[in-house]
Amino acid sequence: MFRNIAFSVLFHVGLVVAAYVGLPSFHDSELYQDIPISVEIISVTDVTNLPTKAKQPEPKKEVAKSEPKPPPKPPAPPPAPQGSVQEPPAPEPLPEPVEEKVAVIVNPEPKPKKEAKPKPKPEPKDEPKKVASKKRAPTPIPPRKPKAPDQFASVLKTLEELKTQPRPEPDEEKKKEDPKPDFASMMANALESPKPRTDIGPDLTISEKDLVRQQIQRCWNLPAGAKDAHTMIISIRMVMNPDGTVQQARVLDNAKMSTDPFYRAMAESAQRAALNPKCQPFRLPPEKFDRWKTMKLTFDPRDMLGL
Amino acid sequence: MTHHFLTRYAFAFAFLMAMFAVQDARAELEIDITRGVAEPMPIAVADFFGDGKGEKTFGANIAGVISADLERSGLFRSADKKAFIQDAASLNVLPRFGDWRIINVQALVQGRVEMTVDGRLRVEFRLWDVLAEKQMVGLAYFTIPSNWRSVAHIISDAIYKRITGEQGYFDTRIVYIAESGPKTKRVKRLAIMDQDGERHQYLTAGSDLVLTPRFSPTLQEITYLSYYKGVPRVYIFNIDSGRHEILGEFPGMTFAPRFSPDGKSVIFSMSKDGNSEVYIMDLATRSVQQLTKHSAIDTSPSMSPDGDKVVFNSDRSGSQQLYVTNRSGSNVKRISFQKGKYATPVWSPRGDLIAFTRIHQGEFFIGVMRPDGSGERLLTKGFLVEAPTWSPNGRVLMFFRQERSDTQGRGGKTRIFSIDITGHNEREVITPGDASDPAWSPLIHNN
Repeated sequence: MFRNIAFSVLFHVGLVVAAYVGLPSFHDSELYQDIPISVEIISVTDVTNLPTKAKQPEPKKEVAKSEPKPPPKPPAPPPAPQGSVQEPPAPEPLPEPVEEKVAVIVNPEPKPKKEAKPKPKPEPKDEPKKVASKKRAPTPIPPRKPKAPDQFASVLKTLEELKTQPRPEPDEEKKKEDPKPDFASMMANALESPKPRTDIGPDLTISEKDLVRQQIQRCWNLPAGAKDAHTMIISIRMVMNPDGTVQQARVLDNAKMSTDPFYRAMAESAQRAALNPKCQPFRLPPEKFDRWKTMKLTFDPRDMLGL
Repeated sequence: MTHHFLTRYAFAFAFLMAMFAVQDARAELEIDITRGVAEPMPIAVADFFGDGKGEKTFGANIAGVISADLERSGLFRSADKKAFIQDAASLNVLPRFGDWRIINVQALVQGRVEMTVDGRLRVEFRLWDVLAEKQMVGLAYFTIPSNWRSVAHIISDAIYKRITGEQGYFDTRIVYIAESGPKTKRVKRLAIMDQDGERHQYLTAGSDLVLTPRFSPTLQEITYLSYYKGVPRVYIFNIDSGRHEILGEFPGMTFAPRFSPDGKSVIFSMSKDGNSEVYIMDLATRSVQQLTKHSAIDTSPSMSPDGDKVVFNSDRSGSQQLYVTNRSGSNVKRISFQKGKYATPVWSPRGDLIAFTRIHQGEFFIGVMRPDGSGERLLTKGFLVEAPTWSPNGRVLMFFRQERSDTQGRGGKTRIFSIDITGHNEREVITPGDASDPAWSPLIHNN
């Protein structure tokens, strides 16, 4: 027993020492050789990002999900590697607002005029609004097209609705999704292997996530008129059953629940969305159950509230 | 030696890989929900349980009023009683949540009515979250039986507050101008009713013209303008005592008096030598302070809930627009910039919005904007929509809508409507006849 522990301690100490002593020297030796290589790594990752995204399973599903996406990618490479890096994330979040918008408009359809009003704020007249809302509701695809050429359409967007632009969400998604590919491609480059990112397979694809997102969004009935509703972001942890139904849904920031009644109202609306049997079971791939047996939902009403 | 060294490296490698694996497994699936719906929440209000026949009747009536209140807010949809599976008696013991989930209800209101020995009514209720299977709130009230309506409204407020997070507005009244008779000889009377149109009564006889009633935000008091013997004066009417009192006699014309949010002063505009300015009068000392000083017409002022700022209407830029100024009269800033003219600004009791009337190309609109002028939204429009007034929680607006009259002066029906600040749920408030200039009271009972 003691021998084992002693061995373990010695081993770990040795390990640390080896790492401390060995790795730097390893780097040192590499440094001399690798000055050119380090340059390569930068350029290669940028380049590989593009083709890999076209080739990899993830993007493929994206493509399957929405056709307008591929076009933006081909145009991307010409400008610059940087532009291309920015772009892939952009298309991802963009389709969401579109579909979501549709959902929002569709749901309050009993009074579409009024719902539409907040959006075309710059234009006071009612008629354009009605037209706008009618156009948007039945045809979800057209809005997507202007959004594909992201930056070119930015003027139109600001005119139409400022809301969709200052979304923090895309950034978050970038953060979530980019690091892995970067790391993977770094590893791939380091190992000089042509097959990058094999570890992403079991992850849920964007379209799979999207499906769940849409299911839950249909059931999120939020207190839209509440004061400062746009400042409240609710996190909920869900424990899932393998059949896609929800076993448990818990609001994460419990302390705020008891002090802020508006927050509580918003949080409970989110909890109800997670628990509502009408929107279950979630259409999640059963073979990836390990990936979604617990989930964290972040409810962010900002886009809905015209901010 | 080299062998050991290699195994060590092998171990180190395995260790590092394990670290990565752990990190990977920890990366929980996250989904962002950025869209939802704004639909009425399905709620079931079961008849309150009562042992005796009288109690049963009260129970059914109270449930009816609560159900109607919630439904009228536009935030709830009352489920049809016929679809209820669980009966009142067993519900009185404990709800069977499955029975309520089946009929797609998310919240359940249940209660009981008891007659106490001293002839009072004891009403208790519980609000249940059907999906989370827990009680959200439960309260009990004592009252004289004739006051059952107020209790029902108070319960509605408690439910509303618990679910939406904001104060309710059901236990409130509306004072308005009841109009009757031909256009040339219009009779205008002050009238009052519950927010749902019930318990309607007239406060003045109709011999003198009355205009612009306004509720005190703190007391059950009303200011209004009356042309008693042809002289326009501002009066204060106390609902509880039934007394009318002259607020003050001012030289020239006095328009649009409004209480400050603390109820201690009145802000109004007064026309002197053909120029209208905004004044504030302290109700205790009756001292008057002039707020604006400009050759243009400054009128219809309204104070922010913290009392620090005032929004008013002025044509100093050439057309009627909205301006915000500090309580001292300094730092005047224009906030309305869209096409057309703006009028009757009213600051929300919640502070986040200013309601207004806008006139553009012969049409009237009721809209809201933030106090800095951003986020303008038009909620409704018509031939004539005017005089927005806020519910005490700043969630709902009332206004009046007059229809076009023909060349003979027929038609021109005038009615009061309410609308949610999201622009949904416009509804007529039923009045016996033509009605204009509504003013919303604060909560009657501080519940």
